[in-house]
Amino acid sequence: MAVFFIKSTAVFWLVLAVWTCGSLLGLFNTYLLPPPWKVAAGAMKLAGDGTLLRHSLVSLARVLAGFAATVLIGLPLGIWVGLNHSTRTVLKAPLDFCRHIPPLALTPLLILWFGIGETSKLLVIMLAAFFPVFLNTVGGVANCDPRLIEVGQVLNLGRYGRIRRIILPAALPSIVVGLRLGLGFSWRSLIGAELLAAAAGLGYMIIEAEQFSRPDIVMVGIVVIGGLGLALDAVFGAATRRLLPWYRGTADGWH
Amino acid sequence: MAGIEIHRLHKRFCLQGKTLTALQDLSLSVADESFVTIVGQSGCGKTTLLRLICALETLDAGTMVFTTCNPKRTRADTRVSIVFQEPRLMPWLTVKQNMAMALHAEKDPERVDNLVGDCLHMLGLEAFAGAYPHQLSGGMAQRVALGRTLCYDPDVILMDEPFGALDAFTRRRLQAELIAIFLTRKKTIVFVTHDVDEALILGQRVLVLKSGRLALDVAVDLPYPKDIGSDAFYGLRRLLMETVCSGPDDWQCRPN
Repeated sequence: MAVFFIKSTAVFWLVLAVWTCGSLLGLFNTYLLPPPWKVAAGAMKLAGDGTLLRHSLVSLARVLAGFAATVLIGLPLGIWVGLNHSTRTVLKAPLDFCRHIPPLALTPLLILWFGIGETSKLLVIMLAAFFPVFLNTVGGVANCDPRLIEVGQVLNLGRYGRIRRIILPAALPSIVVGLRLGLGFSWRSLIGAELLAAAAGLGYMIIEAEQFSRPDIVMVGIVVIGGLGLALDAVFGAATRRLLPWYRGTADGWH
Repeated sequence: MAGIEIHRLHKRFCLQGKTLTALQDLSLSVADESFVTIVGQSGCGKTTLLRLICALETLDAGTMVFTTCNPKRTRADTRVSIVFQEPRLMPWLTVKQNMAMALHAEKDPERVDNLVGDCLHMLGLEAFAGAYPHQLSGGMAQRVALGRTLCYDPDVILMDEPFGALDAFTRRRLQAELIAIFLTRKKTIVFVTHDVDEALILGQRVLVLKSGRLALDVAVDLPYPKDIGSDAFYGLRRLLMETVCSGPDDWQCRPN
């Protein structure tokens, strides 16, 4: 366990060491890259007056709401499209077209249509998370091993039984990968959306710090965003291992 | 219980634009509660025949009926199931759950538990009831697949080279278990193999398929367990070998 901890955090310690030594030796311009103790002091102050917690909670709430909405739409849609070959043919080109438009490119239009309120930010999250969730669900359902489906046939399972007992469980690993990717994508795009238009949230905190020339607070924001993303992914991974004990696949986050 | 009557069966496949005949003009009957083995080279149509019997393929011409001594039962009542070449277990289910899957129509969970428990006991799988397929050896996995089919309790059990991928020792044991199951449960079993010895050890009757036709139909009048050192066994073995190996190779005239 100790070895695992050292190995998995080694890169962080190394970066911190280089950053500290460089700052002590005066190698970095303190405005462009503030020393770690200044960033730490900034973080302590923001944490102390509750600002950091407030911005983090706002961002987390947004991402979870947007992600939940995406799952509610993308999962059933993906299952339906995965089961129907003809729908795939019809929808492939339009979906590929949409897939290549980054959600951030749509932000100006979304702000124009829905204002700078929560709606447009939720839509950005949904647009970012939709394709990983949807496409992995479609792939998982459509690529179910036909030999397993034949087992269902010879055991006299009806179509509904085959879907429920064979196709969906077989697609689950792929669906889990999609959910995990989707969660990461929505977290990143949310921060992007908050940079453009928001009155609270970690993205807003960063843009505000930029306007007040506080690179240390920008750094705090970056570290917190990365850290929370890491934590979200870890929670998701733990839940996966608990819910799918037989599954030891590639959902370990290397994509 | 049920037997099978097959009359003038034809089956063709389209492969890369070419039509190839898998089975032609095949007629045979399998008696109720009998153990029939089918041997032949790869590509002779053995697997296709089994897939037709369990309705995974449709026939192009000919008829196939299930016969039964019970006049109240119709064709639709006949339960046919197959043990495939590979175990084909659901990786997300434990051994016990995989076997219980065959009892999906059974509403009473206690009855499911009992039936699965009996099967686990008969196949010596009790210690592995909670294991997942990836934790099993090949022989164990194939045993679970057999258990799943037995739980389904079909009238006709089809087996498509189920022991082909196993080592000689495991295969020997599973053959003995299968014979014991046949003798106690009185099922109709159609067992496909490319191994002439296996066909003779298991079957009461051996059919040789050659290029989609029936080349030989021979009764094996030896009591179980068969004495593989006996002259009768040896004579049959020689006859089968000659029939299987004579003429052009099947895989040459028919790809796949």
